Amino acid sequence: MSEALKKLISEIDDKEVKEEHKKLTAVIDERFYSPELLKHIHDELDKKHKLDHREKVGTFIVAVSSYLRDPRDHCSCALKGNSSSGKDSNVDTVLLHLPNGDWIKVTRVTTATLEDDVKDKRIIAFSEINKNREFGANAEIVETFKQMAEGGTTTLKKDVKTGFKTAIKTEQEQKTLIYGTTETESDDELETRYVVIPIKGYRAKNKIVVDDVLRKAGDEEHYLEKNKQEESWIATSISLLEKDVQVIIPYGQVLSEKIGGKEIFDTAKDRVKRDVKRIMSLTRAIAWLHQLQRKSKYRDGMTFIYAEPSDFLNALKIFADFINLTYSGIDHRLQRLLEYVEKNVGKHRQEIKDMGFQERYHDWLLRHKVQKALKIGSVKTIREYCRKLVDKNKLEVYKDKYVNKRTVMIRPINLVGNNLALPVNIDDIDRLLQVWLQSDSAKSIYENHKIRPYLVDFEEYAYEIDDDLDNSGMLSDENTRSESTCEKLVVEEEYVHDEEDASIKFEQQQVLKNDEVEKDADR
Amino acid sequence: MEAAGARASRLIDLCMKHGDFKVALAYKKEDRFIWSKHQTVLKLWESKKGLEFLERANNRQILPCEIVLDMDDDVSEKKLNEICDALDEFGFSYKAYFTGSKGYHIHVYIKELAAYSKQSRYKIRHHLISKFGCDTQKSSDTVMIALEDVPHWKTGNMKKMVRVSR
Repeated sequence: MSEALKKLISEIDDKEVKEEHKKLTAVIDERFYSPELLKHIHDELDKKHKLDHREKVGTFIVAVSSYLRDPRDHCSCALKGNSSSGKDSNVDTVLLHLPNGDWIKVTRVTTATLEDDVKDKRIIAFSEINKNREFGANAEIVETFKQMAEGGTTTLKKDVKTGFKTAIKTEQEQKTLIYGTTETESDDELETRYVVIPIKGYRAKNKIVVDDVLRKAGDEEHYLEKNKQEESWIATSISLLEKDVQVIIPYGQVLSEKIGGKEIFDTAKDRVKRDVKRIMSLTRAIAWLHQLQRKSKYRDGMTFIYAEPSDFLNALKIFADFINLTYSGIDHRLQRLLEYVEKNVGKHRQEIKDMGFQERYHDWLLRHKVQKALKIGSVKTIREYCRKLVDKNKLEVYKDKYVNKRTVMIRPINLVGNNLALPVNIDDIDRLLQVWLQSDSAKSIYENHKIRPYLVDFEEYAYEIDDDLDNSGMLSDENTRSESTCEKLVVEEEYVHDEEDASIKFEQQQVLKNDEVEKDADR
Repeated sequence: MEAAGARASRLIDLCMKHGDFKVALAYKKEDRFIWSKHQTVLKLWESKKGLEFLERANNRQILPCEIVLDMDDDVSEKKLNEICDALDEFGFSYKAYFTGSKGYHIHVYIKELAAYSKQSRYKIRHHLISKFGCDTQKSSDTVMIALEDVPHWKTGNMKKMVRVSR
């Protein structure tokens, strides 16, 4: 671009000219040449959406799959989590770093619009879809939605333009759909089509978000930065990357080998057919993103890009947990309860013994203690979670009617078999691929291309589990009081419900007693 | 293909370099100025008759990569030099012509300008033309301009280059 023209355009006070100039002079950011590209992208996403590291990069990679040449490689994802857990923020952050005209985010949409009017969009994001809830947001579009995410749609409709005399056929290729939901129910069809990404809410996250909001409130720089509204370097670079390329995964066949007697993709499971396609598509998306650093070849009118082992390993590192979670068919909140119960079998042995229960009950867990440890807000919620796990044959609930009528106990049902889509360790797969890299076939593919692997490593975070909260002494008086108040309110709400009335009354009395003790202490 | 004359060859070269554009023939008939139909170079190139027309054409469209500064009001040499000096300072490449009629035409060539949309090109041209107080009608690239090194259709005087960028 001539310097004289740049100078001239800088003098022109016209937004459209400047926008066009920016597009015409855009160049791919140098970070797209760096092996640590995924880390740079993560750092950029992290500026707007704190924590949820794997989740936000995962959502981003799913969105990037929409740029792959073959529509069948376009993946979709569902963000599951409670209200205010950060689902929308995650989606907004990811979309902000994709070229503006390529996506649309809606809060409500009709089936007809989805079929006819989003042809030019690669990604369609929905703020909320709740299929099972009565009058749930966008519940009526779920079917269209499934079709769009798997195979695309073909519709035949009467043409309004010709006065309904002729029919019009509309075809739409498979798209990338992203949606948020608060539902815990699973829909098999939806979940085999979507990568389910759990978005969790927890105290450390709340603290970081609150601190960030408070910091920004008094920061002039933040508002100046916001006012600039410059397109992100990621979006600019993606718009300039080559779209008409086919990604080849040359080590695909190696992945059918067994490691330590185990298959990488467990073929005993029917769903593995979809999962293997999905992981391959996500690997292609990662390789496509790194296209400037990958070996490419032009042959018979097509350009091929060769994925490297690190693309597959990164796909596993980011998505294996999410796919395993989908595999179990259990929402992450129920999974958390189940995991806690499985890990802590026998933890309440002494209390149960003291209550006078027979030995066969000693390995059960007291539900109210589990509720407290997992910080589940209300009895109603944990009861609902338990009901769902009982329905899935994962949990047993015992309501005692003889020894202590106030007691509800739970225990896991341990079934033989794993629930993992990928039962092999990622390090073992890495070793297998390293051996393949030394082979003649690998050398002939990559020739003199220098492979510079980079594997993502996200900081893990854990749920806060306050075991034996009442004995820990970790909470301040203030906190203890607010916990009690919370419980008291919950208990009052519960009172009208069912046979647990007696236990509730007991708990209520306990809470009031505790309050009295505290007041006495204060005096 | 028929052999083209010097003027036709020059127009075909321009067309190959910058894309198709329209040309026209203007002439005086019994004290009246007559304008021919505007026709594209590519279309004219197809036939012998077309090539003959190209050889006689004395006006062409402003090219997408070009800004024409048409000095209409103040046509002094001093003003011409002022504008040319400023263009040199900017770093533009240009050729300044005496039109053969009243004023001067400064043809500024910016290769990248062609990549912009028609609307943006109009705005960019308008800005530069206004900056030097020239005729803003020449902001659009649909406007016809007297062909270089060809006698002017009104006066019969040659449109001659008088200055070129540094």
